[in-house]
Amino acid sequence: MDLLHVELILIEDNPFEAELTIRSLKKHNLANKLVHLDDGEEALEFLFSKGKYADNIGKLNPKVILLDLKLPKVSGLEILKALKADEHTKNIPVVVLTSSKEESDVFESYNLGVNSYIVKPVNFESFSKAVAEIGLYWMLMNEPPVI
Amino acid sequence: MDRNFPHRLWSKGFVLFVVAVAFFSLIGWSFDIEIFKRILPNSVAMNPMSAICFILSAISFLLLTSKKRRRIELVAGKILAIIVLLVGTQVFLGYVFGYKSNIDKLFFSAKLQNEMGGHLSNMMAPNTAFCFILTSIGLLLLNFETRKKTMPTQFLALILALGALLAELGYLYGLGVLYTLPTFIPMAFHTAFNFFLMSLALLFVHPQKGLMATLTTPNTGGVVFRTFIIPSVVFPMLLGYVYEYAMTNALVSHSLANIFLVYSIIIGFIFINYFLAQVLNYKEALRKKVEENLAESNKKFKNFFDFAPFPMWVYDIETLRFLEVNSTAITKYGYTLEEFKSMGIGDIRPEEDVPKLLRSVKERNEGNETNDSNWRHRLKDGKIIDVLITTQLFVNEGRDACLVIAKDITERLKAEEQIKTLNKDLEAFTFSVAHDLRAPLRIIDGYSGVLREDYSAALDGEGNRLLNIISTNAQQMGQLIDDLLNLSRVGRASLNCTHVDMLYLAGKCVEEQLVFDAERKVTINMSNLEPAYCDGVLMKSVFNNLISNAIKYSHRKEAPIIEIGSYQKDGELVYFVKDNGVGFDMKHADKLFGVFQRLHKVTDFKGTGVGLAIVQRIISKHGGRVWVNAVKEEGATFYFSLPYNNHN
Repeated sequence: MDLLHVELILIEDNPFEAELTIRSLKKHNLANKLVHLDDGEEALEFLFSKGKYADNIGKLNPKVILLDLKLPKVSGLEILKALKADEHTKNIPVVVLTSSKEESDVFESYNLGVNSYIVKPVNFESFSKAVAEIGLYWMLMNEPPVI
Repeated sequence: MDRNFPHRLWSKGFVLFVVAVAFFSLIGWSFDIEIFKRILPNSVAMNPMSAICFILSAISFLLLTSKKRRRIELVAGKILAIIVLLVGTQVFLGYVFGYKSNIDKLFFSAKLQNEMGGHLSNMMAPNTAFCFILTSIGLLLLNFETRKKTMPTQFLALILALGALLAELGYLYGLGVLYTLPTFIPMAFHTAFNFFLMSLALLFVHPQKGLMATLTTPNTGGVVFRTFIIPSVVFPMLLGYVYEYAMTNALVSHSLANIFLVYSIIIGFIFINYFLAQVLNYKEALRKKVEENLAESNKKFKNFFDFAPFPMWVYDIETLRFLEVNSTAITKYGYTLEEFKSMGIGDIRPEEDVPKLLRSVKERNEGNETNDSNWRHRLKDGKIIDVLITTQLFVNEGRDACLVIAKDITERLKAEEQIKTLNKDLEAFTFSVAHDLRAPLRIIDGYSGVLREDYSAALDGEGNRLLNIISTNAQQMGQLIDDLLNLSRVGRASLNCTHVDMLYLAGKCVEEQLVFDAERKVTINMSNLEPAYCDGVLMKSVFNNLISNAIKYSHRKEAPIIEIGSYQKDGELVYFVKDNGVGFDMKHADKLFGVFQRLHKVTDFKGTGVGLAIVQRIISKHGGRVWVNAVKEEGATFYFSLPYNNHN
């Protein structure tokens, strides 16, 4: 896929969760320009054009990043921190999509500048609905800044 | 009234008697009644000036010992004493320098000329004059006490008493020389008697002071003195009288009389000595016994102190030095008794704690009660231990001291710390487990959902039913985990108390919960709820749980009524939520507040059984209680209380 057209980046280590998320997005035609990354370190390399993603440079302009907090190697909060600290990436909307209701996680995320914090419902129907709404809102309704 | 009251009263009695004798003597002079003038026939009479001096001395005495101690009384008393002193001195100096003062003939001078047929002009005797000098000085110094706690007046009174006694002995044995000095006139019988009384009055003014203290004490010495004083005077007097009588009438030879006299005196002395020995032996035996008992009891209490299971010591409030230290403390702390006694209580503490200690001691000395408190002590080997200190102030040997019990709580604190860490670990573990369980559940439910959506047609009715069961149970477990996480969050949360309008709070909860009352048939009666000082967020969770329960369990009734109210009782604020729902049998009430405890089937009423456990945990965190009252099929009332404190 042409990276310039990537609109949604999903960073989620659990393949089944990822599949269910993508499925819900697909139902609403929101998953066409989606990239799924399942490792914190790899996600950082991808987002900041390092390592095998060195070619990415200057090509990324997603409408939203869906970020899980519990990731192998590099945690979601670290990624969030890196994104919001960098001039080039700080304006990309980041939505934390996690199982954690832990107040410290919520607080820390907002502190780092997260754009939205969503706790995944256990109930599949609610979950599908939530994912679809997130997709619709950030991809269609929200007007992102031009980077 | 103090115990010297009777003696003081005796003083007054003696003095009044002196006045009476002098007064009668003056009556005698006025109306020539011989018996009043001279008691014994053919002896000298009391000089009228002596009688007046007696009366003046007596009045002076009464003024000086007046209980009101008014200045004017004291001054008047002293002036009267000085007049007596001047008269006595005038007469006495007249004898010494051989001139006639004639002051003693100021009254009744004509009658005095005729006294004793003119052989002896009745003047005031020189010994009488001297005795008046003693009396008046005694009066002037009545309340004077030297630095060595002796009272000069008492010595003067003693000389006076002995002088008077000597004169009386003269009368007893009919010997002129004793009651008169050669060439002078003798002291009258009742004059001598008056001086004797006067001396007693002077002695008994301060019975507890100076010489008198020895005699009036309730101790053995005083008792023995009081027992023997009268026999000591009377017995030799009687012996002397018998001797005199025998000699005068020539009943026995001079030597034989002497032998009997000496013999009797020896017997008397031996008797007194024997008696004294007995008394002293008895007293000493008694004292030894008491001392032994005391030593034993001291030892016993010293043992209680020494072998108390906790280190104990006594320190001086002012110097903060150790006064006594028990064996347990010596063993525990490693210092010897001598080392302890050379230290202050600051020396067994880490240096950085000393300022805090001094502050605490100061506060306590200023009367601020300090209860048990935790401190750190340093053992001799440098090891620091945590101790719980309990103290008691008391007076030790006349100084304020403090008794201390030190309980080593190092291990306990360590254990408490460990428990805290363990609890924290456990909660973190619970939280993370519960948390991690949600992901697979979501996946189970998610894939069941996918299956249902995409392959529903491929499954028959039974297949779809089974799929639903998987889905329902996954959701049920998800709810359980959510509730458990809530419970654990309540356990970890610290209270954030504010003044909460409970009526408003409960109203909000009712509003939220009535969403579940789709048919709008529940009636909610809310009376005025007492405001409380509590954590509003947690309290909302309490009301939410109780109100949702009430709606849930009463919803099947025709006309569900829920009543929410509060009252004050026994220092507590009590709130209740009452419904007329299905209720339950009270014999199961104790299970109600446990986690996952349910009294109804899930198929009848949905729920995980965690709600009331959360309520229980929140209320006990606030220091309150939760209880319930229910009747099967008639409804249940859930109560919770909050301690009524200064904040409420």
